[in-house]
Amino acid sequence: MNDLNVGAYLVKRALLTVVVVIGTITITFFLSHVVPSNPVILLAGQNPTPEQIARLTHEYGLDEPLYVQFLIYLRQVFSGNLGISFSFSLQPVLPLVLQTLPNSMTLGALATLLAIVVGIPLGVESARRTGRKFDSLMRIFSVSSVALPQFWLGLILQLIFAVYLGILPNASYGGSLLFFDMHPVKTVTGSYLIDSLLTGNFVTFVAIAKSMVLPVLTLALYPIGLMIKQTRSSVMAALSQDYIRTARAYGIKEREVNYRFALKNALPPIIVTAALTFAYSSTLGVIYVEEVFNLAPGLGFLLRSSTGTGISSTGISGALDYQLILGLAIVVGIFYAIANLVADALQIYFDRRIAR
Amino acid sequence: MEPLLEIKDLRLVFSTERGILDLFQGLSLSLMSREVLGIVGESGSGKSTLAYTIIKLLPGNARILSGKVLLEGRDILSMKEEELRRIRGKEITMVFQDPSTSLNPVFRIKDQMLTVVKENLGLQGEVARKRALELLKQVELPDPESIMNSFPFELSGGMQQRVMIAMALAANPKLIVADEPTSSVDATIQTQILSLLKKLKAERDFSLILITHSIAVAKEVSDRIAVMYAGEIVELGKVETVIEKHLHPYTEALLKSIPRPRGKSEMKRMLPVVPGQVPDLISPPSGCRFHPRCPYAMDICKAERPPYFNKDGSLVMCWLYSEER
Repeated sequence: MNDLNVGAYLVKRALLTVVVVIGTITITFFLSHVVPSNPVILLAGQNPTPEQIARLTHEYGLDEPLYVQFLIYLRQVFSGNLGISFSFSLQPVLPLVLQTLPNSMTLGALATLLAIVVGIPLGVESARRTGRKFDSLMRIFSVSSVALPQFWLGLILQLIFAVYLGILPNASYGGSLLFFDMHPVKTVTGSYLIDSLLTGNFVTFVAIAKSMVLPVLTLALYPIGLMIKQTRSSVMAALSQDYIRTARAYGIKEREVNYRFALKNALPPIIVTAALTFAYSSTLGVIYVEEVFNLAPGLGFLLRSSTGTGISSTGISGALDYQLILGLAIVVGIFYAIANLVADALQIYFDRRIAR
Repeated sequence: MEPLLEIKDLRLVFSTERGILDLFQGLSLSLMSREVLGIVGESGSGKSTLAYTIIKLLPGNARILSGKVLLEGRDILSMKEEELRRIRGKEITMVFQDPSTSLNPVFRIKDQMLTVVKENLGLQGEVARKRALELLKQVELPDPESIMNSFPFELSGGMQQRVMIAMALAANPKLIVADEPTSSVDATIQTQILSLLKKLKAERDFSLILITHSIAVAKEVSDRIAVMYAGEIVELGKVETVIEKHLHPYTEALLKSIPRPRGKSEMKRMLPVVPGQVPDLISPPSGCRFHPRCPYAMDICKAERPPYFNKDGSLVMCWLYSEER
């Protein structure tokens, strides 16, 4: 296999990623302006006069035609500036988003890991036993896990494990809003879990880990179901191939036939599912979970605030925070694009024919 | 001398959506040590199913109603999975029809060869690798080192088939079952593969069952030929006898359909084919299954399944050879 092909293929996919991100910006920009909203009311204080609003609107260029605003915004983005947030006291958007990302990514990564570790073996076993009892059970499980609303599941888990059994904390990182006043964590990566581990703060680490058990379970259930479904169908397809018959004809152990010869062939769609699970669980998936379990700072919190439905630092809500929305869309878009790119690279690693 | 492989009164059906497909209605066959048996028949005659019955690797809808497949006296059909696994790849191995789909596309040749060598010879590490390289040399593959590092899709069809044969040889099996090993490669490669099989056969001690739709291919390597039609072995005998003194009307039709180089005037003529079609075995013809296509069909052919008659050292399942006639 020549590596030139693989390299060229990946460069092509990376360029496509840039196009995808520009598309995301464009669509998000115009869609967010479909709803009439003027973010300056987030700045204008209480009971502003129409003159004050008009002055602020002009000051921030919001009275320019939409396409001019779009071009200004694009130029700004390409110089690495995502603008300022009106709902978070004019803080720059990029640092705001980036500082919430590590915690949400930790949640997403743990949920994805759980989905892989639990979902793939269950999917393979299900594929081996097509039509039998175990398979039916798995199908019921995967359909119901995909259908179950996350916020409901989160509440039920809180009720069982925190309220009735009292073995896990109810909400917040470390189990209490005041946790970090008592156990400060030095920022290294921005993820509480990882930072407490890196700084050797084990008591804090355990407390934070415990407070993340229920959120991660809540977040992982849907991906686990998805992973079982995907692994089952893709391994089933592989098991019916000639090379599996060959492996069996050569006395290869059933375990090796299933988990090596069939699974490696079945991997490409499983990798895509895992990558999208990670992207989803780290960004959009955390919206409900961070709300139900009161986990802040996080991307989910920020997303809600930007649409004027959450509590912002100024306590005023009800208007769209355009630049924060766009900034989040760009970051989420890039996140998805990178996840896809990694999935592409992994697929080639496992099956060289793809890059031919 | 006791036969290496003995199939005794095998009855096998498939359950299909349209009903029960009655394939083998009491099939018997035996194979001696070091013997090469060619099994010839049209597609749908059950020759591949017979191959998979021998290692009990049948599709899920196949059901064995009765019969035995004895390998040196041990009944394969009544073996447990684990026992079977110990026979597959060690005592009996297979070469498949289409090497491009029968080799695993996402593993390098070395991973596939080494798995087979390790599993079936119990070798490890460098010893296993040396053994794999040696096998690739024996099937006359140039530059075995680079073949080992290739993926199947980087090799030609002929090379892939040689790799399959190398895997089949790995554990010094008693029996190799080759299911249409040359039907997916072109004529030149076909000749090469056949002469390779002949050479290997001369060097080693295995028996070979060669399954093919081409009586010409079977003639090349076989000691005996079994002609199959609609789940029955209709004629079984030494290669020369079957080719020169064929008995069954179906064998006659098959022999006529071998394309031969002819004069220019004859080139335009259509290739002779066996008239009619393989019967639908969900509702098989009564009596002899060949009677609807047989030019010599008699009344008894429709009424009764013929037994085997012994003639010129061959066995033939045809009423034409009944003594009482």
